[in-house]
Amino acid sequence: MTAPALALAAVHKRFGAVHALRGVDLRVPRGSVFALIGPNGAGKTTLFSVVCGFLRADQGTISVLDGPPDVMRFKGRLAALPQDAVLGRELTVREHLTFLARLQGMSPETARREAERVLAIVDLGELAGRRAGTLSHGQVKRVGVAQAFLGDPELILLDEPTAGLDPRHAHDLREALRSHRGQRTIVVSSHNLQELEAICDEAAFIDKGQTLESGAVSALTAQDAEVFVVLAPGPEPVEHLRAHLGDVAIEWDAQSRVLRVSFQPGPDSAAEDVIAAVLRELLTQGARISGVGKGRSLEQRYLEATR
Amino acid sequence: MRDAWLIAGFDLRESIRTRRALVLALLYLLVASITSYIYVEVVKLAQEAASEVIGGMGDANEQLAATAAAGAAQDAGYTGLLYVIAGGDNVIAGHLATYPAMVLVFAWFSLGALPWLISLTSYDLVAGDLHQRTVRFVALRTSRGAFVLGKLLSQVLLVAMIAGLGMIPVLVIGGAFLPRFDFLGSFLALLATWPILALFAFAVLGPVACASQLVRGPGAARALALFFLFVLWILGVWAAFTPGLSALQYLTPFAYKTLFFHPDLSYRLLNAAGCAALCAGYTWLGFQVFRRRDL
Repeated sequence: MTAPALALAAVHKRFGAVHALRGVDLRVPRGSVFALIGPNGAGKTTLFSVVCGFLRADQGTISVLDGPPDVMRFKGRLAALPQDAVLGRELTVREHLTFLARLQGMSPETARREAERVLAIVDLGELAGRRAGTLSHGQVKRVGVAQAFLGDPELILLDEPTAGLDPRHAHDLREALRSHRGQRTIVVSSHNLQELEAICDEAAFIDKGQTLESGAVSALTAQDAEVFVVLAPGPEPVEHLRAHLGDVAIEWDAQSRVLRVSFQPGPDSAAEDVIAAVLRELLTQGARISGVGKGRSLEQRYLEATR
Repeated sequence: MRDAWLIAGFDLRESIRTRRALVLALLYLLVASITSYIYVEVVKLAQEAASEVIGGMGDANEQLAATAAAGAAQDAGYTGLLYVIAGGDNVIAGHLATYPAMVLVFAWFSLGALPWLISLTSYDLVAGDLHQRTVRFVALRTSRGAFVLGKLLSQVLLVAMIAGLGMIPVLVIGGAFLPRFDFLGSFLALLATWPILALFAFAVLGPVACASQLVRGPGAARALALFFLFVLWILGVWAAFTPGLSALQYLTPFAYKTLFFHPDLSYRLLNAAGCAALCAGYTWLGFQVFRRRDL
């Protein structure tokens, strides 16, 4: 088993009386796109800052790319989009990116090429010559994302990368992140859980400075152990199902008209088999089906975890 | 060192495009122009007064004697002034006399103004980036030491550029208003004073860089830098007049002005090394906080 790209154990960080991180544990597998999910003030940005070495943890152990956070060790291997950092106003976007690329050890020519490449990722090629101080909030955010891709680092931390982006650019960025799946380790924090569900393989819920749950998104959302059926108004044969389906747990929410069936996954009881069995029984009882799916949404799981 | 130079170059390019740098450069030019003009006017007045008195004399021998006496009086006054500037050191005063007077006035004005100019231009060299968190883009790519060194170098270069600009009014005003102005000699003398200004800037930048690393807000950094310089100025004056404690003045940048004009090169080199050491020492003190601080 390869070592995780990022591993934190019992990490604490205090700011005076505020205990921002209260023993965070986290393992981010290499090559995964990892979602860090939590409400405002949960400690996500503090966690990113601790991993990057911007903040020093008071307690706990942190391993970033097989070692402690040390800028000279992970120079060019770790990049981040810091949430509140501001670029200087006077120089152009290209000058900023070329400078940062050169700090990663690139030659002037390579740095210029690299700047153009990462600007293309965020669709900002035509603004390369613009002064950073004249960019809109969304454009600044995209430049921030672009600098995180300079040199194609092994581990990229993106704190709220799509916040403030218009839908098209948010979509393009999601696609760009998705295209890095399996090649680079990317940790993303966002409040848009649908977005995270679409692009992430792994996730962790953190709240009040603690990790509540973490694991593969498919496991967190019970993709392999739960199915749901949305019934249109009409018959509600819930008791019939309970009597005729074997070893499953059935939950019926009359208000949303969602029927949830939890089961133990096995070779003969994949989600698709259970869906088929449930639908067969429901249709024989004259139920009208308006939707079918597997698992729960990440949003539902998050709400349950943070309740 | 490569990273420090990269940061210095980038920061310098950013700094010279800011309105603050422009305003300060213009301010420096304005004050250099006014100083040069005042010097020109003083020279003219002295010459006119001497000519008036000498012109009123009927006898040619008397005129000749009076001209010589006026010249001798002016020389004596100037030598006395140089002696005061040299802090009572005859050797330095003698060497100062080899500089064109107008260049010396400019250099002395610059050395006096630089500490306050630097405290107004460079106070946020680190604190500004901390406040805006711009440092976070760089902190993942280089060490904090290289960051501070780069910022320091950029400020030295900025000050050297502004000081270099200040030489223009000296040449322009001297050339335009003084009939016997030695343009080439003055230009060469100005060039010789340029490294002096840059090296002295190093000494002043030490306490300013220290202040900038101790606090996060630019406003607080400016107040602290001014406070440090004021305290060091007081310390320098106090140490200079306190028997047995005069060595303490070398903890202040202000003690390093006159020795740059010593005729012996080894003294000048030692003084330059002192400026660099002072800068390194104060910057290092501030760095002890910065290297551990949250960014």
